[in-house]
Amino acid sequence: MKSLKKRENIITAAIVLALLALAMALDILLPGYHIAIKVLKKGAVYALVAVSMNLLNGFTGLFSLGQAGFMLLGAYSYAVLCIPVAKRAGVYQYFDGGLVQFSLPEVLGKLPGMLAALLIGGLIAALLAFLIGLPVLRLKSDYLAIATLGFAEILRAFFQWNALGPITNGSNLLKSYPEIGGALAYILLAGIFIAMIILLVNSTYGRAFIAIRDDEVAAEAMGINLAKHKRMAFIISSFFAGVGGGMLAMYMGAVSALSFKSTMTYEILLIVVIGGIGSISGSVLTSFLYVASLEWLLRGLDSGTFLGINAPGLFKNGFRMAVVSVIIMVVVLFFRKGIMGDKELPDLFKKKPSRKMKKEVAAK
Amino acid sequence: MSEINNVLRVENVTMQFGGVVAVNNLSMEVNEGEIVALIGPNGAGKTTAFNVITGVYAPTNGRVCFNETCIVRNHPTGKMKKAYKGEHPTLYTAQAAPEETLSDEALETWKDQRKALDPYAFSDHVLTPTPDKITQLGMARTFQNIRLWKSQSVFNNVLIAMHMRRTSNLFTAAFHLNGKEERAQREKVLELLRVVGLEDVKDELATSLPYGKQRRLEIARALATEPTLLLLDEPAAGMNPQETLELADFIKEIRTKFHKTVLLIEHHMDLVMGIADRIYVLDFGKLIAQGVPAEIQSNERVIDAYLGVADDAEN
Repeated sequence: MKSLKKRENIITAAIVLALLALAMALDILLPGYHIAIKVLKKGAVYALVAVSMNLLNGFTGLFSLGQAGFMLLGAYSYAVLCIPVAKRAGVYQYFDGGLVQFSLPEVLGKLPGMLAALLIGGLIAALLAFLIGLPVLRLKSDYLAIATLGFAEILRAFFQWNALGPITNGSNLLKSYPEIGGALAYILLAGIFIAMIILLVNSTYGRAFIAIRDDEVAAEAMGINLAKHKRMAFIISSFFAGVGGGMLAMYMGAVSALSFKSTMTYEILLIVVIGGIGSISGSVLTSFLYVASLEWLLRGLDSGTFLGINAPGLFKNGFRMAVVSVIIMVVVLFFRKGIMGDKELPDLFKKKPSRKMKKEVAAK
Repeated sequence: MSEINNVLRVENVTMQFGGVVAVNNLSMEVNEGEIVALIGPNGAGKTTAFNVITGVYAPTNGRVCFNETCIVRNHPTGKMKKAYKGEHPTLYTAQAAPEETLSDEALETWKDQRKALDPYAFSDHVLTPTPDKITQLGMARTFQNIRLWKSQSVFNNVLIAMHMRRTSNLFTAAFHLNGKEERAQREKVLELLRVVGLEDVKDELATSLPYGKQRRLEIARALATEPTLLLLDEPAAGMNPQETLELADFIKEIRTKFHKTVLLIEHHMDLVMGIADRIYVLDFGKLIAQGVPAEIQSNERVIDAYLGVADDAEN
């Protein structure tokens, strides 16, 4: 284990704790429907999904666009398993109250039940990833992207199929299931899962993934089983995407397969790319920035008043997206490798070698 | 059959890309503790032979045995068999035909012995494991065009190569419950880097090193997979004479210190003649000579094919 006493690690820990305290304070001070709370919740969910995508696209070098599909699985699992029994008749009104006649939070207790539902969602996503991974992972780069994208779209259509109605409620909404808590709960939950991914990336398996990304031929020649490790990365990434999907269901309050379009995958891909491919802190940071600016800070551009400027003629529906596109283009132009590149937060606080030290090294 | 300790035995390997026969009926042996060199002019098929041995390509014909187990084998099938059988009958017999020299009874025992070593010896079964499985058996290689993991530090490049010999599974590794193994690995990496003389640059990016050091790093990385046979693909390419001399000493040291067997492809004649116990010479995919360095140096076909050409190029 690297020493935890290093300066940059202490600074990072301090920043994380300060942000947690801030989230806690906001939770207490602001009402639950306040936009800041919503941004924090959605930001946390997107951060988890973006990091899971980064594990696959950034660390293992597999360009997959199936994230929305795996999120859909997680979201539906969570919703189906958590709707209170008393409300099932109302939710599944076209399907005689549905097939599933139990609710995990009622069986296991509220919090354990919800956590179990999230994990089950993740496991279902992981299982499907295992199954489709067998054929799909033989493809490379763009072809893999198209195959996974297609899979996600098929899944979305499949979930709206009426014959599955007793479980998925067909094309109707799933709702009335419980939420885990305020912004802090979301951040902690996402934080725990992200921490797991960080641990994995820094383990011998994470290094093997990076080796596959950097040079497949060399990785294979050094005894790394490509098929096995790629499948492993795909399954793990899907697991966390499934969990993230469950959390997104919590946040949205009502689930319908319609909202898990490929646009959602692109949003997450955008976050990963802007944050820096191969940087976990970049993905997290960008998730919050992206959600905050899109849902909150730039809202005024659609509704007439922005930064105190009142121009209803210009600031009307759709202008926000135009501005967002311009911002994204500017960011991509100036940060070619994303905001964080492939660096992590602690790397930013490392002491830079002074000129004198550099000279000494050069003299050697 | 008298068995000297063959570490590697290449039998009648032919590798064909469409109409090009890159390696033509190559047979060679590497015995335990030897340093064997495979030389030949550019395009002679040396690297292709390497790629067949390490499982990158499935050979068109022939087989490769490592420590007496068959690791790669193939028999010509379909179209190629028809097209080439007439032209090159010797290409497509997996081993020298003993049918003519042995009595029926002796032939049977010979076949039984063969089958004991390789269950598919007389079938058309194709055996081409992926390179990682071959590395697992104890054969590690370096690359002619350096293939280090470019985003990683020198230290990590060697550390990653140890992944294969891990005993931890995904969960113990992900939750860092394998601290003991991890520490042992890190210590071993430092030791290997010390041996190749890269300890002082361990935190630098692998690709920021000068060429010669990158080659040394590749050797360290290959050694980290704990091989018994080390395959070096032009280890001295891009090195200055001083570095080449150091490399020669280093390769000898690998043999004495780590008890490895070495098979190398090389262009630097000084290096090869100085360290190799035996030399195989390839030209246009065919083996044209084999023997100890002194024999090779005086072999006319070799001088014509290789050394002569090299002299012309220098003049």
